[in-house]
Amino acid sequence: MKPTDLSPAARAAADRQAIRGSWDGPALERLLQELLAYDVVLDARVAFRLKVMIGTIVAAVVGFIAAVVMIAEEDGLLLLAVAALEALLVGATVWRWLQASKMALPERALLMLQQMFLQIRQDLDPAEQIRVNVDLTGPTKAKRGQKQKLPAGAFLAREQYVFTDPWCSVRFQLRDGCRLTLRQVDQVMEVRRTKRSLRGKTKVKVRYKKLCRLTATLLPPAPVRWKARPQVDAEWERLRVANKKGQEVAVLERWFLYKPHEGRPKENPTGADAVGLMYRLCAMREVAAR
Amino acid sequence: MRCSWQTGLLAPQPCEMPAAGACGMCGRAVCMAHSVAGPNGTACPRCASANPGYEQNEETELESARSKYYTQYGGERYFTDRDRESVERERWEPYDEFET
Repeated sequence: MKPTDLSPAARAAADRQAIRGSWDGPALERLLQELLAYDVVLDARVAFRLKVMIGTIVAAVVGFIAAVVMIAEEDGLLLLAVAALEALLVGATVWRWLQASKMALPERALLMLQQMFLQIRQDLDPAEQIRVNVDLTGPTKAKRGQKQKLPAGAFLAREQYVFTDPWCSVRFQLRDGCRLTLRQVDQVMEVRRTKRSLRGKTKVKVRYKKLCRLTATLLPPAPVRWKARPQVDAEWERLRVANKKGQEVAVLERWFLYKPHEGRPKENPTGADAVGLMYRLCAMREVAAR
Repeated sequence: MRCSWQTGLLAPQPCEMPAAGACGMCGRAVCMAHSVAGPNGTACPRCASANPGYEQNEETELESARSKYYTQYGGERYFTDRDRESVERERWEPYDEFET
C-alpha cells in the first residue's frame, strides 16, 4: 500500500499522526483498518531504508579508502570531492531513514482501538457519532517532564525523565442512551544510570518503564441507583462514583505496567482489556436499565 | 415466535427477528443469524461457544468474552509483588484530563 492508496481521511490522519473529530462507527473502523495496513508498509519502509543506510555507509568507507590508495598522491582536490560526495550520500540516506522512522504509527495502540470497536459495534447508537481525540505521535520530547535526580545508590548518578502522554480519548453513546468515555494516559519513565566499568570507562545505561492508565467513565442518561460493585482488583484498579455537572458518573480505572528488557516500551493494553473494563463498569447499571 | 438472543456486549438488547428454529441443547428460539451449525444440530451462540465442534463466529466469540471479561481480573493477580514495589504512583506528575 502506498500513501496514495489511502483514503483522504486516512491520509490526513497518517500525516497528522492523529485522529480527531466525530466519526460514524463503520467509518472509524475502516479508518483504523487502513491505518493498520499502512503502518505495516511504513515498518517495511523503515527496515529497507535502514539497510540502505548501512550499505551506503559501508560503501562510502570502502570507497574512501580505495580513493586514498588510488588517487591520493596525484590529486588532493579530487580526493576531497570524493569525500564530500560520499558524505552527502550518507547524509541523504540517514535523513531518509529518520524521516521514515518519524512517520511510523504506534501499531498496538491502533490495534487496541480497532479490536475494541469491532467488539462493541452492536452496542453503539447508530444515530450518534463517536467523538475521537487520539494522538499517535507517542512520547515525544515535547511531552517530557523535568529531569529528576534519583538516589545514586551503587551508581555514579541516576536521573529520571517522565514522559506524560494523554494520547487517547474516545466518547460514544450506547444504544440504551448511556454515554461511555475511554481515556488512556501513558507515563513512560526513562531512567539513566551512569556507572564506571572495571576498565575505568564511564557508561550510561537507559531503562524504560511504561505505566498505562486506562479510565472508563459511564454517564447514564438519567440518575440511576447503582447496582452492586463489579469485581475490582484492589491493587491495580480503582472504582468510584463521581459527580459530574450535577449527575453521578461511574469511573473505573486500571493501571498496566510494562518493563521491556531493552529499548523503549511498545506494549499497550489490548482491545479486550478496554472492553473488559467497560463491560464490568456497565454491569453496575440496574438490571432494568441494561 | 421471535429470536430471544441478546445481541451486544455493553448494552444487550433482544434480537427480536423472526425465529428460524430452536437451539438443539437449551431450546432457546433463535433466528438464522444467531443459529450455529454443529454436530448436535443447530445451537444458539452460548451453547455453540461452550461445546466443541461448532464453528465460531462473531456472536460465539462475544458470548465467550462475556464470562471471560467479568472474571479475568477479580480473581487473578496480574502483577508480582516486585512490580508493585517499583510503582510509586504518588510520585508521578498529575495530568490534565482532556475533554473530547
